[in-house]
Amino acid sequence: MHMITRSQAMAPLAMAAALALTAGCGALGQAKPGQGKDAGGPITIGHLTPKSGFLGQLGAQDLAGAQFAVDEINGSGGLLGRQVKLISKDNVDPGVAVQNATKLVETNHVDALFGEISTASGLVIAGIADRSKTVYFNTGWNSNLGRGKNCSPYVFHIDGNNTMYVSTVGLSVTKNTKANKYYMLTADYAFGHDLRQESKLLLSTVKGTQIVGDVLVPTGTSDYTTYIRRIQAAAPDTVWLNLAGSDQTTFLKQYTQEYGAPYNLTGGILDTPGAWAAGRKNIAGVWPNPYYHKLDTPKNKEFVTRYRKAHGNVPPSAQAWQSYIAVKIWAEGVKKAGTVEDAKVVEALRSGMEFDVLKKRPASFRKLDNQLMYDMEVVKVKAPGESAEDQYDIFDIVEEVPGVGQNLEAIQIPAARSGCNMDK
Amino acid sequence: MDFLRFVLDGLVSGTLYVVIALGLSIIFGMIGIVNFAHGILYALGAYLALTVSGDVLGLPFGLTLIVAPILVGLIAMMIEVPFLRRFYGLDPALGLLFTFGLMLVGEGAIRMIWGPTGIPFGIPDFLSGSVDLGFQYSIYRLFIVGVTIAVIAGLWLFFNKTPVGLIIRAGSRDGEMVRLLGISLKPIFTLVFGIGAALAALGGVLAAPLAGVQPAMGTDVLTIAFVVVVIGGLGSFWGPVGAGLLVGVVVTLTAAYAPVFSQASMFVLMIAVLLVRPRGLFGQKWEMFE
Repeated sequence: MHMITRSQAMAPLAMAAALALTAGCGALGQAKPGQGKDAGGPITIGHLTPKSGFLGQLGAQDLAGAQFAVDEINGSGGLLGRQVKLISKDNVDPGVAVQNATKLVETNHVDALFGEISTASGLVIAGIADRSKTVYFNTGWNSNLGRGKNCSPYVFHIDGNNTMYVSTVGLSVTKNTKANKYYMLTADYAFGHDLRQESKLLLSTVKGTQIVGDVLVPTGTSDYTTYIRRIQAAAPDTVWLNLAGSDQTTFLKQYTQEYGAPYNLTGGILDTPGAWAAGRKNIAGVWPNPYYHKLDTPKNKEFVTRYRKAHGNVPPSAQAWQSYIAVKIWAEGVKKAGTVEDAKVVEALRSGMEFDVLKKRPASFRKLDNQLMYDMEVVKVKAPGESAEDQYDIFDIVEEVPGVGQNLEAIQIPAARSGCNMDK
Repeated sequence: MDFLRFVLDGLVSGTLYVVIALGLSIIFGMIGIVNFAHGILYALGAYLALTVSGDVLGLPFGLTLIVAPILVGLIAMMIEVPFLRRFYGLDPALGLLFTFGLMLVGEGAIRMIWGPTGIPFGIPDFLSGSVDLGFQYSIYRLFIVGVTIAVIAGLWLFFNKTPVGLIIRAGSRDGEMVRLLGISLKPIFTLVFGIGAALAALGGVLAAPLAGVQPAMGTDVLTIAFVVVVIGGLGSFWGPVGAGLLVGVVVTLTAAYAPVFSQASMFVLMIAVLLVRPRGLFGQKWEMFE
């Protein structure tokens, strides 16, 4: 009797197994990076934001907007027939951001990244996104830095950049008031300096403006008495604030309640949740905002109603709107590409697609630097006696910039200054 | 003339630092616990002030200023009895770790109860605006000066002229002797912790209209409290008073002449004091270790 030895049996068995495997792979087509993502099961996306610390209030809004969009997509049949799953990570600082982003890409194999509010963390995630060729939507950091030399075709900017914010309020304020002496207060860190540079550039383009004070304030300052004294000594027409986070509202509270807000007030940014937290009576001024929930379009009213129902009657802030439309825009890109494969989604998004962002006109990505272009709102804090819907209705929309009929490029970073080159 | 005005501003703003630091110093001086929960008690003071002055009870500001700290003091005493007192006389690191844990739990609890976003708290109308006393002064800050003076006077009288106050001081200096005299120290120390917590909470209520009420508000103030207490001398009574005013002046002057360094200036001051006089400017009075 001739027994087949194990080694003799192994070879044909191994061949059979190998054939079976390759046949299976062959059924999915040629194996390519990312191809496995279309296999089936839920589509996973990663969301990174600071949930604690001084940016924690905004982080909560950032996550809420994204989750709301995901729930909406899943509720109406999913994306490409698959459910979307959102994995949320708490990025308390840039070091943690690196770990979280890396984990999401390498361990969880997410199909897209969303989030961040701190520029420092955002830049780090953008770098990881570019190297790993994962599409990343910046939902909350404004620095021009990430839109310049370090730009990447995989990184899309939903939040406005500093030039957009500053141009919006600068063009509006210098047009509508005769005020020409400005006193500038700037937060002494990267974002503040960036805002300051853009603000000074903008003001220098307007005839007759003069900067009578230009002071750097350390972040975390809790007592502004001395700074207000110096402002009073300089007697400007308008105080221009480039402060950040809770420092903005701390200054405003003291300036308004203790000194009666003696001069016009404006600046590069005022976060709506911070303003809600300060209370309408305790703040003042004219500010730029990518979005305000009282925007009067039918699509927006419907969105706000649904959002309020799901969030204990709290309306969406600009932050929540930004992450909501980020997810919806990504979904549109995926639908057009027919796949979640990142390179194809990037191609679709950069093909001049127009997106409904609940405003009067649709938005599209700027070819130069992947900045989503839309009209910004100029908002003014309601006067003390003015009527309001509730404690969240603290602004009146003064106007939109550039506004229907004007080119959306008017408030973007000029190409000559940009430094961004996607074709490198 | 400008310089004088800035010095006066500094003294005025320093009084808030005094209130913030006093509770921390007293607790360490009398009980020997480094209270990391100080910041969260400060925050709790502000949040409870919101609750009692809002729709729940609608108390006027003056009453809120008294009721909220008392409530926090009571809550602190309820934590002290079953938990904190087990750490007395042990390695100081243990009490520190426990209070640190309290801080983390406390911040989480605040987020759960009141939400993660800030809540408006304004200066009451009758205290808003400023008044001209040669220089323009914020009425509210002058009010804080008044409250601080009243609190310091009250505490001094309590610790030096009342039987309970004297027992507290005797108990921390020589606990065994006090026990041999038939006085139980346990309720005394509970009271001290409650007083320290109430002072922290008072700081929170006073600061709330100026800096806002949000869950992370306790973390930053903890650093300031420790800096002031170290400069003044950990455990002493007059230490935080003098140091608080000094820090106020130093920070204000730096903000006036070299603003970029204003936040760092208190730490530079602390380092200088530690190098020259490690016990703190007013010496340490570790009653319990003398």
